[in-house]
Amino acid sequence: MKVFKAALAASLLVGGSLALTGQALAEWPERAVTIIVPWSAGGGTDATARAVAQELEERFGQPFNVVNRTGGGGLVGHITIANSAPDGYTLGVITIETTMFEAQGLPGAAPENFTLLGRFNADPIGINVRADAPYATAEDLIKAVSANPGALKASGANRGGLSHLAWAGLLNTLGVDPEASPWVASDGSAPAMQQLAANAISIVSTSPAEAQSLVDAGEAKTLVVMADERSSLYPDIPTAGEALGVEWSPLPFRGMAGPAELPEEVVTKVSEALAEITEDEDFITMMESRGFSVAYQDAETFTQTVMRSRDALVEAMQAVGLAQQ
Amino acid sequence: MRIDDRILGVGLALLALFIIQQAQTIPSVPGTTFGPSLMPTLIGLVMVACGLAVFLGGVRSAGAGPLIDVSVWRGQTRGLVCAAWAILGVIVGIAVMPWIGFPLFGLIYALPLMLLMGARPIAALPVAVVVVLCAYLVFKRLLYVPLPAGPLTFLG
Amino acid sequence: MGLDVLIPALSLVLQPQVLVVVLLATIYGLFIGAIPGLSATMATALLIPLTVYMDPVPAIAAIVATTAMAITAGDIPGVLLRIPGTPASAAYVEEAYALNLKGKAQLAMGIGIVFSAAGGLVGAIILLVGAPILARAALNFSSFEFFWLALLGLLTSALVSTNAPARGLFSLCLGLLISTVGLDVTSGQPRFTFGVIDLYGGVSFIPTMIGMFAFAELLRGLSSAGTTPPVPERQKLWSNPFAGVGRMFRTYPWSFVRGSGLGAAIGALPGVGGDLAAWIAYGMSKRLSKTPEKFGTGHEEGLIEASSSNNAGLSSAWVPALVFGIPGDAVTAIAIGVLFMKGLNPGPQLFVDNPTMLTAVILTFALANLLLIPIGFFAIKGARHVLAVPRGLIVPTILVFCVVGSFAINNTVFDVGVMLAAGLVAYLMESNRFPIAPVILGLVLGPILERNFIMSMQIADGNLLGFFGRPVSAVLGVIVCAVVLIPLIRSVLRTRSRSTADIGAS
Repeated sequence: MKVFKAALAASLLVGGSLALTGQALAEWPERAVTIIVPWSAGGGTDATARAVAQELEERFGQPFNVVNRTGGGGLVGHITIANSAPDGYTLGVITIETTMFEAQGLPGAAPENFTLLGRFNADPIGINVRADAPYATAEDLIKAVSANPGALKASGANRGGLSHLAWAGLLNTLGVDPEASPWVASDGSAPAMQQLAANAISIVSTSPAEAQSLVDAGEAKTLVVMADERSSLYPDIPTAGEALGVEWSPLPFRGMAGPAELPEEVVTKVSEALAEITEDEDFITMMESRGFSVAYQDAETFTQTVMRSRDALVEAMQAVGLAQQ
Repeated sequence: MRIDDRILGVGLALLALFIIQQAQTIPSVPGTTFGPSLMPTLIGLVMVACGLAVFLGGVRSAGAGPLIDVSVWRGQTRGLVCAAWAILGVIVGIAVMPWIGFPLFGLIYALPLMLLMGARPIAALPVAVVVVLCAYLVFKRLLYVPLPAGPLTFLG
Repeated sequence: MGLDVLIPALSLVLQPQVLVVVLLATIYGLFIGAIPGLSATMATALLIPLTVYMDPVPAIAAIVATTAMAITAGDIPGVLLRIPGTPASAAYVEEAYALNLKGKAQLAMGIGIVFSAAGGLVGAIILLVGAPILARAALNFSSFEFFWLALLGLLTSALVSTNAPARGLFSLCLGLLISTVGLDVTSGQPRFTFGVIDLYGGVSFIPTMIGMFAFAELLRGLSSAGTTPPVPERQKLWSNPFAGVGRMFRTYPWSFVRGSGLGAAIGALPGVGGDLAAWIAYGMSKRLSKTPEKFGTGHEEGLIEASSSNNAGLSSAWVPALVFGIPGDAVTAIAIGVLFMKGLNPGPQLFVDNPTMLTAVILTFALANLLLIPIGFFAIKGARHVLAVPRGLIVPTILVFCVVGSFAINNTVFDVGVMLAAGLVAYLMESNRFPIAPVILGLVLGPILERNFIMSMQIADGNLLGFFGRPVSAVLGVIVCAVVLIPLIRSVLRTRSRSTADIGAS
């Protein structure tokens, strides 16, 4: 017994707090959990992540601290989550960009580098133009693009970002050369919407929630959403199928994940908690008030969705010349 | 430490040329017309011009003082020892902080420096302990910054 | 702006949390500002790691309160020891010390505090009224206009506010270059990372700034001036430090009006900031005074004008910072960086999306400046004790906070290394007369400049004439060209006249 005590004391002295985390999980979580968000504070992913973290905190009785690790179009934060210790005390929110990094020649943050825990949000991307633009429908816009190649410039994200891929992929599906509407690289949707308001570009590809404030101000209008069915939050906006007669729905998601090989206990607990949270009235109201829809998938379904969207997206990236190969 | 403008100017211009060369190696996303290497290249060009301007200014006022002037350091032995402690302490701290923890590092770093700078031990010891503990507890407890605790695990 | 914005904004400001934060920040600013060798910028730099964890309103309130108090308190060692506490108070340190020699130390400090507060309030009102009007005009700015504005701010800070343009420009480029390190936002490609994963997110600006403004300053203090400044002599107990200050408003009303007006105007220019205002105001006061011969001998007039311009400029420097996202000096650059981290991207759109939050931020200026007066009272009373704290205790304490503050931003010791490297670079730069503030401005504005430049190039298909294609951008473009060309032409003319003089002499 004495020897054991001495050994314990020594391990405490030498290994410090690291020694504690190495021990078997008695009952996860027994201390604070860090939630890494790869996008900046105040943005959509951050807002939804904080709402989820707060709910998790209430359910598990331990602090869930949100930490923003931004940069590189989300790559830095994704890599940080993937590289953290798989003990369940560092988790994160991942976004659709995880499926695209590898094809862009940026390794270390592919879906395989994570244990996927569950999806809580998915919002389609819309095509927005100036309110005074001469096209009433998405069809008019596409006609204008193919009639004047290079004249109508589009923006909404970095080159190779999902918004870009969504727009280029739509044109590609319609048989129009994606380069007919040159992409202007921007840091997210906000600067792109500003460019649209200032009449410096013609098209912004972004989610209706992020275009909302300019649409409300009467400066912009959303012509189409790239989804299979109409959004319950924006029932008046037609889908790509209705407006253009094509199947094209690159659906951005936000979900919880941890590093690869997370203990089974953590996966089950977080996945179940997410299921409860996404049925919580207050949570749904909060999400909808900001224009985000609640779309739960459990760990297994989420993993399948991610893998499927990767296949589709990489194919599209190759088609429009955004993949490295 | 003051370096003569002629050496400085040439050095800075060479640094800028190195930057321009490095900028050319930045890969670009396929199809990009104005890519990620454009801005660093432009900055590098302006830096070359600045380096040359500093060099020319040095040539114009040539000959004043030694090429590398360290006179400000002369006669400041104690101050230099303090500065060296301040710098080396941080370097060592980066290496050992994950193991010995922040509280111990802070104390080992700050207390000798206080004494070196002429503070009385009777004042330095309590001030150092209080400062390090305050910094640790405020950041760890109030702000949830995961500062390493090291062997002093009882601090939480 | 109507009451519908003002009242919720007031309720955001008048919360116990905000008030406590402002109070603590004011006291902290007083401490740092009053100690010679510790500048207002350093006070702000060390405060940032804490503000990152606060809500936007208390965070900005803390920054504003700290800088306002630190700059004001910078007058105190000026009066008592003839050592300016901050660069801004260097403009009138002789005058203030002369007043002390005349036995009017109390009046000098009283003037410093009251007129700083009054000037700051004027600046705050200009900010509150002017910024939304300007923002409405800026709503239709595209990347072309923002590119020119960012360039204008950067160039003025590098060229106009230093007397060695090549060095200022180099500092600026260094800052811009550091801002390009990491994964490029628009293409996702790593730049200058040399394979180091920690650099993928870029060089964090807060550790850089702590290194450049705090660590480097401490190193300079350690390695050159080993002697501690003298402790001021015990003064007789002052009954009321503000006695006689009220009379000054009546005696020199125009000095106050001119000073705060000038300060507000200069501060609002992109890239200029508040420090310069005090120098210009003091000079102008002397030129326009009825009794210019009294200047330098302990005369109140110049002190009033410079003090009010100081803090007026401090507030109005936030106009370009909030409206265009183009900061005018190091402090606003730091604060803009914090706002970006909180997702509140300064710019005209913010005035539309979140006017309440913005108004609340602006109201904290008024609050901080009002608090100057009561805290200033204790400052004058306790000045001697603040100055008597041994340097040997202060410097190591600040060093500990440099380390912990750098660590706290990304929770990594890598950033402590960034802090150290930035500190050493800044120390070498400043020993060789390279200004530091343009580095920070470049670091903060670099991404904005680059993004808007690349966007504009892509929109204009690489045609540089496109940068002059819109009316406002054409005007801004011409101004930028003038800012670059005028000093260049002047220096060429000077060299030519010098060489003709040489020929004439030989």
